[in-house]
Amino acid sequence: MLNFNGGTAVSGTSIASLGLYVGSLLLRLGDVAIAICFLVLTALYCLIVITTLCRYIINYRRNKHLLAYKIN
Amino acid sequence: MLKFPMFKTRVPKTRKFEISNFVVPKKYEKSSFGAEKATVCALIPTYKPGFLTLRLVGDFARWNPGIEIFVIDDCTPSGTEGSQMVFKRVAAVSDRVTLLRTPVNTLKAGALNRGLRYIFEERKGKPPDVILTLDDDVVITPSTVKNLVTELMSYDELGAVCSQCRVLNKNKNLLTRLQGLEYLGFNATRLADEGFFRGPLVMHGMLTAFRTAAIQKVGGFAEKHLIEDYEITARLKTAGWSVKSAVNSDAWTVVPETLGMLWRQRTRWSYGGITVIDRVKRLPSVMQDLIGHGTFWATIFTIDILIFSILFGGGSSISPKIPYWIIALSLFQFGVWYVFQLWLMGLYKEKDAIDWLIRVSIIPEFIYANTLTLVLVGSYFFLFFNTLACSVTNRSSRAAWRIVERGEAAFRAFGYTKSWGTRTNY
Repeated sequence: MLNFNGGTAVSGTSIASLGLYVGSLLLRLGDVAIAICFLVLTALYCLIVITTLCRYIINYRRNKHLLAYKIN
Repeated sequence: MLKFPMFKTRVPKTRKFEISNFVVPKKYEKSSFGAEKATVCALIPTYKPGFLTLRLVGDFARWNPGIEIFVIDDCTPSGTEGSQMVFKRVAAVSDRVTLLRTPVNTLKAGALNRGLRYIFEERKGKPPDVILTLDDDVVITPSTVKNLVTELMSYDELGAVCSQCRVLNKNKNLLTRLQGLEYLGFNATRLADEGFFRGPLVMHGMLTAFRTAAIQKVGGFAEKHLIEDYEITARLKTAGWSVKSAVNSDAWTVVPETLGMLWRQRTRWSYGGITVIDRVKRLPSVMQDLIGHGTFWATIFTIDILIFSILFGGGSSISPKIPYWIIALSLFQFGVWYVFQLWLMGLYKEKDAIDWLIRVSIIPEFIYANTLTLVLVGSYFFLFFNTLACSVTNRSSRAAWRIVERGEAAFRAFGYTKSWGTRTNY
């Protein structure tokens, strides 16, 4: 799923569908240029997803005491 | 930018941007200032206000004693009877409510600056510690403002703190439900960005608390800008302030109910975001957007290579392990993010079975996100067009001018323009 709306949110699913398609295509085509480009790209997306999740988990734990409130 | 009289303005010493913050966000140090001592003013710009504005001012005055409220009429035409009635009732809500009016229609940023000028130049007494800016169709809870101000004044480094965004008309149709889920993601992204390159990308215009010293330092809002909230956030970060969201400060807003209105709103956000990047003085202030645009172009580049390779034949053979790695990484990231999206639903207080169905099935959000990606593609085309149009001068031929005029009209038909500002009713 390509998801760049607003230029702000890079969804974890942004490259997944494309990556799956290209991965299966490469099994048949076997082009080295595409392979390296997509490997770098999917790794980059993975890095963004993982680091974003790390920050979210850390900040969630830091703010957890505030999240226990109830909406009036 | 405006110039306001300065009152003990001091930008706190902040550490430089650190690469380690990509994984471990910076933790802010607690302030010794008692948040309960903070004096607060609220600015509510409005144009043709309706019932929600009256409700907002009433709730605000009732739940936040001691806070002055400035409702700024952005030159609503005198013929709009319903709105004039709302103004009369708003003024009668409390003696803490002051009605201001702009001499001409200046859009939201102009109306906010009118309020700031009043606070700093016309109003008697010391300026407040905190200035709140709100849209006129926001719904709040009794604790929204208190929690927001407490969060802002608890950390000396913070120049602004924004509320959580929730969708008031979520159950209207599928599009509003999708936006409800999207806003849930926006709130999560803001939390993830706390302590990352001075905080989240945008302190949204819906409800944000600004430290008065910070807003004085940057000189108020940029008028005639497409998205003045993102623009001022970037300037705050450039000036050395950090920003964050308050997870315990909820506010609800009305989102577009038709695709046309949503498209128009998002073209403004998208092209406005590009203009902020274009003019920002320190690129790390817009780091999240740089990553977003960077990955977009990296993806376009690799798709181009793929198409080129399919059309003109493959190159040398590769190890079969690489395709499997690509597939595995794609599946891994999809799985991680999908589980996270499902977990986030636990924080979505307004959710119902239909929202669960939308999220679990993925397809509606898939189509929604891809459709909105087209907005970004259009923004790049509009940027390219405007860059070319800048080269057309008085010496250029009539044909060149005609092309520019037709191009502008075509882009305007698709919702792209350089010269409108935020209006709360889109």
